[in-house]
Amino acid sequence: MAAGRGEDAAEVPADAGIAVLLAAGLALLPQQEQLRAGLSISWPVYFSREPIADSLAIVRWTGHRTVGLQYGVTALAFLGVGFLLMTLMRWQLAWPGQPLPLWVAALLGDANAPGGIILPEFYNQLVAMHGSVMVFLAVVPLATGAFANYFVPIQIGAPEMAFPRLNALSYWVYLLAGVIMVASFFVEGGAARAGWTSYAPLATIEPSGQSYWLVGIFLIGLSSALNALNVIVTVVHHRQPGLTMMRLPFFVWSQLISALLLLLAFPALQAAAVLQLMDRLAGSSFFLPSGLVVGGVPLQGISGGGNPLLWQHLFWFLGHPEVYVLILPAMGIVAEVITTHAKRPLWGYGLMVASVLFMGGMSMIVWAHHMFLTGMSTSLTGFFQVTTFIISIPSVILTSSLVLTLWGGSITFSTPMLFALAFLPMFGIGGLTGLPLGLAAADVTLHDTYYVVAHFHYLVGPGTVFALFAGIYYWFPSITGRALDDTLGKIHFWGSFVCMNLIFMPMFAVGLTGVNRRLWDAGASYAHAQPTLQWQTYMTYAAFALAVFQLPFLINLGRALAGRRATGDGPQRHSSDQAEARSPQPAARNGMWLFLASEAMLFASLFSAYVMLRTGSAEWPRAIGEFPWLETALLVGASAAFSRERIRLIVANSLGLTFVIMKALSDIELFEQGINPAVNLMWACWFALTWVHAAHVLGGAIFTGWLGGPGYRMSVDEPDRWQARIELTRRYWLFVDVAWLFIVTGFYLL
Amino acid sequence: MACPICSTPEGSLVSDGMRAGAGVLILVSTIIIGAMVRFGIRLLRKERS
Repeated sequence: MAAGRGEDAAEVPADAGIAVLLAAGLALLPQQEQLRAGLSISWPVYFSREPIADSLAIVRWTGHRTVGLQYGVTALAFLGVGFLLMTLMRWQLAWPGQPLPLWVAALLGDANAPGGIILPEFYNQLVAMHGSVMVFLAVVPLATGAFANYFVPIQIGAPEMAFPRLNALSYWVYLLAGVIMVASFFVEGGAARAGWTSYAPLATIEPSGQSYWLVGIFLIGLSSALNALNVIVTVVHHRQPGLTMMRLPFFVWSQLISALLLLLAFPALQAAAVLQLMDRLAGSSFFLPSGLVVGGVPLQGISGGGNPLLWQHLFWFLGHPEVYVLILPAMGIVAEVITTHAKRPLWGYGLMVASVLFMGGMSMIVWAHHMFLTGMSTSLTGFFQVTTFIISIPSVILTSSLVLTLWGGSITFSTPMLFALAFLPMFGIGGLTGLPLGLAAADVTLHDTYYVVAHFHYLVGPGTVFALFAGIYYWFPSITGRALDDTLGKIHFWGSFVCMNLIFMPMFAVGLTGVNRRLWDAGASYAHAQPTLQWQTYMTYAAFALAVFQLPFLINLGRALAGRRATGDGPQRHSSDQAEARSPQPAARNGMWLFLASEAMLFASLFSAYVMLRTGSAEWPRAIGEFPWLETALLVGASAAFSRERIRLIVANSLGLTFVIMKALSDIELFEQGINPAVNLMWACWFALTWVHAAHVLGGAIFTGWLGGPGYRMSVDEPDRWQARIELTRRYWLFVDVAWLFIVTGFYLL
Repeated sequence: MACPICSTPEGSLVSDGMRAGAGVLILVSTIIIGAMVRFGIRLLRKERS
């Protein structure tokens, strides 16, 4: 499938990602009208002078460098959004109840900040959206989407990503998710405000902004899966001949493991988002316990009996691996920068690869150390404490290897190297202060305090973000052919380094004093927090100074883009002939397996929710009706009928569609009988699992219909690709059958 | 000392549910990661041969 895609990239100026953003309306530059009109646009908007013939063609741009830049610029824009939200939060924490400057207050409106004073509800929105935007829309897409798309193919000698169109789709889905999430600020009740973790049952009873958040998260999961699948298949199948896995640059390894984590962990949060959406919109009670009282009034119209901890399990099943999705690419970038600027090869490459593999695997089974406060059983607590301490070993190996790489090197202290070097102690502080949190006894005291805020910000802020800046400074010349000014870069670095530490280091002390991290007034109403209030003010000054020190970075970018091309033409593009020489079929086959692995995690997450709720219920009704023989026969029949002959494809398509129609009709009948997700947990689980399953059947039926209809021409024009698609779709139908058998076994036979 | 919440019949059930549900997630993750490790080992062997 990848064969010949190299030409796609050549059709479009690779660096036209900037233009994509402009055309999407995310940046208001004067040339936007020209862009729409299809006119040639001059500097500084583009990196090249090539004309854009058709602004709608942007959705067809699939070159890996274009998609990488689209990701990069969009993620940087979201980084700015997250930063702005933070400055508002910091104002409130430094001067609780004091009005904002007039022009800011006017922007926020009376609903959020009457008289310029930030309301607690709006403060909660700022907190929730700052975390969500930074993690899901800024840092992860920058670390994985941007750097992986741009540099992984270049570093392994591939002309293009394995599935370029899927790759482009992943960007557009990500952008859509981001717009939906941020747009929720403008709906009634405002944006999500139950924290970036959206803990139930609080999140379930929040206004509609929470639903936007959930839809956004689901789409981000989809986008991440498409991107991750692409990275994995590209690395495994599209390396230059002779470039074995153990010769891959460490950066590629770090992106590979991050992609695996995203692919396998995100479905759990997607499943959780579906369940919470059902709780909010369909009246189910997956996360709502019995007897819930909201504002002094018992919650009506729900069955109750759900478990709020179910949300936490599913959230952190993604949430913890997500930390490694942030950190691993950061380490990969730092490894690149350090080896270049110390003129030394990586110390202990094999050990580092082994560590990153081990860390990736282990990160899937440490998630509940975020939940020690929930009163888990001692066996679960013990398990997750041990796994948490084990995973710290590869982290130490990786950091030590990076430090030892410097030994005996001839070090150049340029801007990217300064950011990379700063990453090491910052990550060290973040990592070491995490150890007490891995112990349940210490975590009970520290968990809800500013200590935790300081800990994870050291990992994500001066940790990962510094590494990303190192990457931007390091690779900017090869991307654009222009050099960044080193003096401005150093002003940016030293200002950011000092300010970041002035913001986050005092938070450890504030946390150890016992100040809760969720207080709107920073603890002004608590006696024990009084000595810490002045620190909140200093931290806010540091945050504003940090904003000022980002200006040299922006000026630097602007000046470089406006200036003359000073360096070479950037990384060499490889000829598309190399791509043609490789067969696309194994890549497509493994791509499908990876997709099915991700789907298996989605169903496993839903099924584990079912097991958790059923095992945890004193009574579980069994009146679900007769075994669905007909539906099962239709589904198995569709798989059996599926073959390369046109008539059998049409039969498979018809059987699949009949299954979906029958499902819809039977659900309508159940609803008319008063049976719906609000009746009890069993029916809620039934509807959730079968609706998600029916959506998969519908997808399979539509694609099979396309194969038997308009797509059938491919069997003559491109028989190899046709055969590959037939094989892949057959596997998909098999997977849908197996999922159905698990569902009916769980509900009818067990 | 037993936890005052978990030691009740309801608390015990919830605790069992947690173990069962988390167990399913751990089990499936292990199977899928195992399959990928197997694929990785085969890939490395193929490269070395």
